[in-house]
Amino acid sequence: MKLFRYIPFIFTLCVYAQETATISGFVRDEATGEPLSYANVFIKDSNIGGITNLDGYYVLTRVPADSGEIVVSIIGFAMVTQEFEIEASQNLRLDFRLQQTVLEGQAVDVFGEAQKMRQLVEPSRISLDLRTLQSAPAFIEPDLFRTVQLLPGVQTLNDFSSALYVRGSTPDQNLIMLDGITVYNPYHLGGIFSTFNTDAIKEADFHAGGFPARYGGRMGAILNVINREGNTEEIEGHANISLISSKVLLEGPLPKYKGLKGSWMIAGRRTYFDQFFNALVALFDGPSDFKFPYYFYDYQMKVNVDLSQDHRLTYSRFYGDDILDFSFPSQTYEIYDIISDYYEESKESFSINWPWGNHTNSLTWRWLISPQLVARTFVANSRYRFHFDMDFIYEGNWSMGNETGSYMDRFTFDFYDVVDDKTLETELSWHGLNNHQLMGGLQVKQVDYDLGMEFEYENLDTIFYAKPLEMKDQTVETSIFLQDKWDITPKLAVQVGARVMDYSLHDDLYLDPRFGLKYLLQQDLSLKFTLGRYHQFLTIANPEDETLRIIDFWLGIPADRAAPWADHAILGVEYLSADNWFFRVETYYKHFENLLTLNQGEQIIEDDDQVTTTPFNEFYDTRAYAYGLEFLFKKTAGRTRGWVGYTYAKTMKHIQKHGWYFPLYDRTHTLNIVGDITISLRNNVHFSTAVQASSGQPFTPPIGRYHHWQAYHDPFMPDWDGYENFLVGRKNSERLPFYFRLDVGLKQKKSIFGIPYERYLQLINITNHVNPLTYQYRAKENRLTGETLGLERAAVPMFPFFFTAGYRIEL
Amino acid sequence: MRSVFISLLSFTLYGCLSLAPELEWEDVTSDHDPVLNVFGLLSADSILTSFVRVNRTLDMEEAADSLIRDTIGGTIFIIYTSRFLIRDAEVIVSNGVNEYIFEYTDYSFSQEESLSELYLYQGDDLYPQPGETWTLNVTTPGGLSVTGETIIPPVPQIFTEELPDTFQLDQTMEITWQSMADNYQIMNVGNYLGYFGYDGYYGGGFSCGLWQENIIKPEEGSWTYRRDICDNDGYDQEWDEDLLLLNLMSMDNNYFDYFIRYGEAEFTSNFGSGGSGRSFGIDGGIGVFGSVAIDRHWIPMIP
Repeated sequence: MKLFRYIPFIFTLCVYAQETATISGFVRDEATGEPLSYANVFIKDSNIGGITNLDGYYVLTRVPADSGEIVVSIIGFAMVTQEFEIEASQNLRLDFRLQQTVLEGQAVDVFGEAQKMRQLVEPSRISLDLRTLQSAPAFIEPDLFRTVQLLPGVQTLNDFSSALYVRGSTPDQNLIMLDGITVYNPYHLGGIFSTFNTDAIKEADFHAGGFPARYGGRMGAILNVINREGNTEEIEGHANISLISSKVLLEGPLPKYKGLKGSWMIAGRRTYFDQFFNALVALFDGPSDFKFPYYFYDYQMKVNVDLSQDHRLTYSRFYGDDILDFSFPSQTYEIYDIISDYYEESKESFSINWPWGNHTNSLTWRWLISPQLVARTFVANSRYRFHFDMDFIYEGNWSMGNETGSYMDRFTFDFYDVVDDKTLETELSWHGLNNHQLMGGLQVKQVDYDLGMEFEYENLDTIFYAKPLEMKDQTVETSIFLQDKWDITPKLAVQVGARVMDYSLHDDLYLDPRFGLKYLLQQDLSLKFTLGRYHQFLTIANPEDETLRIIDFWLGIPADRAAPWADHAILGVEYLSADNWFFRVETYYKHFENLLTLNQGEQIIEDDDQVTTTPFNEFYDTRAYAYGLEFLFKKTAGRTRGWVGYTYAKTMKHIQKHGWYFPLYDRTHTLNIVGDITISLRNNVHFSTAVQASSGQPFTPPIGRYHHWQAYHDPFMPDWDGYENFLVGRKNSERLPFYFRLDVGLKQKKSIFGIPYERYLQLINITNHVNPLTYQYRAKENRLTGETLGLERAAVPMFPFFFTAGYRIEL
Repeated sequence: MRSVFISLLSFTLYGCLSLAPELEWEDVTSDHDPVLNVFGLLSADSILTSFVRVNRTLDMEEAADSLIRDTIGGTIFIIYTSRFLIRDAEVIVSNGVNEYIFEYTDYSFSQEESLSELYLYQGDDLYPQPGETWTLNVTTPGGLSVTGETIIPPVPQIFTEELPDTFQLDQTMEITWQSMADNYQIMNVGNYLGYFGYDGYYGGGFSCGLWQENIIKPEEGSWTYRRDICDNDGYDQEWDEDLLLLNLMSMDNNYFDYFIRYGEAEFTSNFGSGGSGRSFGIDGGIGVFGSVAIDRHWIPMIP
């Protein structure tokens, strides 16, 4: 009977629902057709509004059936208003094309900053676009990872590495994606550059932590790199040449065919020093067998096909390789001894062939099932491999009088790691409920790991083959997630979600709950809080203390090991002023369990009684924690743009052997200042600067010397002696000196024969400050007596002062 | 050569773009209190002498050696003596019943090098027996001290009756011995002429591949031995007869852990190899106090 009381209310609701409608559509750049994310779309004189997502798609629900005016705005573009008339229950599709209104010198770095701050619940999120990536002085050429390294909360290991250490997390704990595809080992040249061509990037979304349930499988940070879609209006391109590589990008619309529309983009990059070197050799020395052994290349392409208004297919591909191909041509030797009538002819050759890199392919199908319901299905393959192949042959023939003979020694060594990731993912976004944005999905990820080492020795009568390392595994991660962003009031929103995961090598199901809260203290001031748990099912087996890391050894978490996990707690306040000054203060705490640290160097006894060093599957149980306080002050518009970021942080790890210690990437204080100043509007001259200052890196100091006793076991009588060794203090208990680097850059846009181009000059470490990579040591001797007095040390410096230059041409 | 020049020129051009800062060397200092580093070995073998080596650790600023001029027969010899070495320690080894005082034996030209600059027992009644627990006590006038303990391992036994009377160079031979329940052993095989330049490891024809080592786990009792495959440069040396030497050594756990399980340096870095200074069977310092026993056998070897 009580139910009858609610009938009028329900009837009213139904009547109300029937008197509203839905407006949806896409917002794009008029000049290029690129979607505009985080554009503000609202009904004038109402409180109905929303923002576009990463695809530029918006949906407004509960629009009263009537006439009105819709307004679309985003900073840097001219505002567009359009009248509309809509009937009850109608789904009206309105697409918009916005014209850029940016004047030179007043460019905006990141569009939609205000809407992101107001609408998004998750903290610790920064978007970087091409302009931001090109604004900071770069090491030879702009690089995505090196720009991300300048953000608060992100640490670097040294100048030679672009790897990201984020709030105590190591690079393998970060999920790096290109158009949604996971990229393993996203580096070139041993980590000096990232594998992403900045010219092809539309936007890079960086979550330093606390990311929502739609992302999983990693404990650290998310970097989602989104490639440009391609110009839908006309074919255009640009070329870029720097000291290290040449780049080309072409984009344009698909040919119109039977109503199909779309766009394409292809970008490629290759180093050219090897070609330059080989040409010089050929010029001065004639044809030669010796070739410069190293180069890298990458290319990426993206094709979008709009099958209809509601269906879009996107194909995305990335191929990038580093190639070290070092071979000495065969050398032939002959000797002849006339006295003994001995003749010998021998030949030897040596080669190293070592390619490593990533190949990815993906196909995405986006389906607007209804204006409120969007489905995205994605199938992708990401393959990372390195293959070190060394070959040595020495063979020959001899004769002496009537005797003849021959010999052959061949040694081959092969070391490889292949990670083959196949992913199928489907995601649904639903805006059907009042004040709720529901998202759910399923992901199945099959990863094949193949890490191995084999060598073979062959001579004329024997072949010896060994495969001391063979680790092959296949894992399947199946995840489902559900999240809901609930706008409880215009000021208060929460985002709750969970991700449930099954890992094929474990019997347990894993639950990762996520919670986020945003409260608008004022229209331009928000408070954000996030809690979450994050599991991970793969790791890298690289030594923890390596300073220069060329390649990663990826492994799935073994069946006998618990899955590593981390808890994040983040609290932050953000403020965006009317003239686009952005302030953010954030504090975080992270706790890690079940981490794995490679047990390196210990000798163990194998079953065949051979004493060997530890292979890749012996790990220390490790746990860790990290906390910190970050300040970010960012100016996104005007003649002077840039940011100042300060981080106070502490990270500690624990393994039984060392107890608690600072890892190599711990820095107590970090200050980064990045600035881009338009000096002359008339001459298009820009001055850029980057200041990086931080506490020194921890290292393990030698504290004394001792004799390590050594045994020589012999068939007759064993013997022993001692050799000098260093006693070391507690692991990473001391710090290298303070790190400081000031880079400046100059850029000017000009044109020649009507073709615009840009020339740039960059000065790195302009003060020539010595930043130690590590220390080098030498014995100190009494020059008169030769007595050893102790030890001296000097810093092994990182980047000294140097300059680079380049050109960028628009076609 | 021109290729090398061109490549050097290319790198020089790149190098000209940078200015390398001048290195500034500074003394490495440390605040380390020295501890004793002791290597004590008790032998249940009649040929191998028990000894104790007593060293100390040095901090980073101390000199590692001292120059000494020694006049012998009118000739001045310049020697660098180690400052790690402690020459005036009191070293006492005991089986719980008797105490044996080890005395320092200095270096001299006439003394066998392996028996100098260490502590030896000068008496003839030191006979460690399998299963016995022996202790070590080292004290220095400077106030440093360590203690240690070891349990003498069983005496190993090669089953010689199961070995052939002679060994032909490329023969396969099954070597067996008395297995031990709780102790590791190590077997080393080589040829006698290998001590005189016929060294198998560096080629040299016939004896190449004969020198081998086998670490024996507890309960293990046999090994199939044959000459290893290795490069033969074709220069066969003339020989008619040689001896194949077999040495089987048992060890206590302290010895095994120090020299075999953790035998390599804990890590290597820019300043060389290093470690935290492990100790096995030693208390109050670093090093090892262990014990061994040996059985030997040889077999005539023919081509």
